[in-house]
Amino acid sequence: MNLFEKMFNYQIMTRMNETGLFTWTSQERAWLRMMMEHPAAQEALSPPTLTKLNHMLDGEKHLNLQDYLTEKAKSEENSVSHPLLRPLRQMILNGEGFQMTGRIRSGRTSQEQFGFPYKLEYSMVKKEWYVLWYAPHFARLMSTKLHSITKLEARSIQPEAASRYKASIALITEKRKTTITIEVLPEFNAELSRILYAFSCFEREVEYNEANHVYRILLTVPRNEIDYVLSKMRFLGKRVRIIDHPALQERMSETAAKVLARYAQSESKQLDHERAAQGD
Amino acid sequence: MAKESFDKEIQFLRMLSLTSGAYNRQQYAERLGISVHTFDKTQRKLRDIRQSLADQRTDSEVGSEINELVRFQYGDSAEPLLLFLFRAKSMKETEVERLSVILHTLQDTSLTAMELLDACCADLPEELALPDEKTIRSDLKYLEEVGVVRKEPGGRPYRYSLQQDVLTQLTPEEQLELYDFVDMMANTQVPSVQGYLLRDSMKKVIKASYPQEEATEPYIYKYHYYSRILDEAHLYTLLGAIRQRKRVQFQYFSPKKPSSYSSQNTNPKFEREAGGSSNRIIPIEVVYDHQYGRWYVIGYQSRRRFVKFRMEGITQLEELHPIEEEHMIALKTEWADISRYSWLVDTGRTVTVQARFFHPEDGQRNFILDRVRLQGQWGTITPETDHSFLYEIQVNGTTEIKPWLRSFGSSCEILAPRKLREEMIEEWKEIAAYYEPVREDVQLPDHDKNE
Repeated sequence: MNLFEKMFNYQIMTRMNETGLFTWTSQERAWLRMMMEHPAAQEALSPPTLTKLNHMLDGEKHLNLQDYLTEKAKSEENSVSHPLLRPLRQMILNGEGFQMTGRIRSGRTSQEQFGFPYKLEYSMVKKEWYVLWYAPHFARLMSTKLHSITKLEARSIQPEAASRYKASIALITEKRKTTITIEVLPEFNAELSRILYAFSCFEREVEYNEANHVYRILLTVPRNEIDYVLSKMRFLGKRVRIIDHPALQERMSETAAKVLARYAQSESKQLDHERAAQGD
Repeated sequence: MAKESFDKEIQFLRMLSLTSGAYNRQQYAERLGISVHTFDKTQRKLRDIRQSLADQRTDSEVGSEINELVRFQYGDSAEPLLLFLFRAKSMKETEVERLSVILHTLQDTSLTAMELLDACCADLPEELALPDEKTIRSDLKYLEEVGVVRKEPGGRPYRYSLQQDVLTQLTPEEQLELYDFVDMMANTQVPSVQGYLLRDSMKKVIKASYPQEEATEPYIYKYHYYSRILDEAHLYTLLGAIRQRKRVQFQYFSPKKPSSYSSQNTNPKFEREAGGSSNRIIPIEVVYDHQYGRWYVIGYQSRRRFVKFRMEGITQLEELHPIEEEHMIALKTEWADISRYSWLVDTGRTVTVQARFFHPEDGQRNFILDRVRLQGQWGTITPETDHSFLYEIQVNGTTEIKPWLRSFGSSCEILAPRKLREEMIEEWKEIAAYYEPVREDVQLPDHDKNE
């Protein structure tokens, strides 16, 4: 199997795109067949589609990759799909709003909130689906886990309102971006590849100062993702430091102090134990 | 003719996407082990591909800055940024024209080779030489091999038709369902390149029935390691070799070394000392590491026993002769045994790591427990007190699990081994020193999140 097929060539592809001609290769069908064996297929596809596809792909090759390919450090997947994805996807497609009831963080329920959904987002870390929506009454962007939604109904809205909401969404999204500059300590430049990989999931620029061999990574992230950036910082430990964001520097400093206090406390408990044991 | 290699393009795109903007042309070329001229040529080639595929409606012109070739913005779409690499196969203009005439002619009807020859002669631009029957037959053979067309049942002369079950058997609603499924699976599972290619082709099917902009991009995924799909270029060669028990050889450029590619000189007179090291291995297994989105190949060498290579450092990959089945089975069993407790691929001494995790402050959902459950692999969780629980795991060496434990900050205290505990304390002291002194009275902005 070769991923650099002539059929995938960009000139062929451009020709096909010009006329809207659809083609697919046995490689793609074999991949699809493999994915149809994943439990998500049962959830994501309706029974008639599932039956048709299984029939369609019956003669295709089995890839059987699991015998040679091992995945490590993968989060357990409880849901690659979710029953609410389809209705929400339809609402987004039709430019509709919704009326939603769901559990919120504190365990209470939020009643019948009106919202305008614009994206469905999957967290690769938490393995959960979220709906991103705009709450016109508060002019805020919201993100709600599909698992915590208990009731959801579509509400039709005027096209003018929908375009107003879309404009607000774009504006707020832009406004909540923040930038963080992270410096790689030059003694860890040998680990640069690993460090850049760890940050490669964010919007970023990298700067290199040849004179002192210092790399700086300039991240642009939404403010509500700052906790995730901090978790990456803790993940990489002493190799990197934040150099321009006092609030985040403060958070890192606080964490370090807390960790050290935690260890100091348990060390002194341990000492007390040992003293008590010696005293017996 | 030697098989076309894409090593240079792969290394080029990886370096560009990882170091976005860090270097100038000269510095990039140096690090890639190529001349500035080759760098420019590669960049032009990739830019042309990217540009010709750009969707007029959503993409603007690809800018002229080096890093704009692979710049991405989170939030708008699930478009795989580097997929265009796999569209880089070179083709002659005449072949592109011919294949596309054949495919378009087959769109509504099944035809024989001779009928297709007539169609090509009628439809090809005048300046191109007309194809002969042999050429058309070999085109059809190729298209049949890759599964784009199929022979109709019945005898000679064979009639060929386009494989278009997606269009003919599925309703528009079902096509949309399939598109969503492909999008989801390509984004959440590995391998994903074929899924992304299919997603690309399905897109135009969807757009025909659902012209709205929202139709093709309702889903986004946070976060992806974008360069992970580049390594899939070697994946099937390696998997094929493992399946057929074949040895492989390659030039390896360790990601820790500054140079990641070296041009292969065809003229031995000018051969510089090639960068990288030459390796021959019996490939045993491919490992995908979700923590960083990186691929490894595990191999066996009689001298060094089990060896691990990062896929991104592999170039000039070639298959060699096969080994005995028994030998392969023995190696696989041994490797399975050695790697049973590898957090990723470390085969160091097996140790038991014990840690205490602390629940979040009052009133919050227990996201610490959730995360340990999701990511703690085969470790066991035991409730301890009202505000803590214990986690225990056997792992080969502590290097690979350490960053994960550290990422929990003050919610995790390592109990054993003693050495790991001490290392962690030392490291947090160093981190504390980085931020000393910091300004006080800083307010974090509110989170606008609702769960």
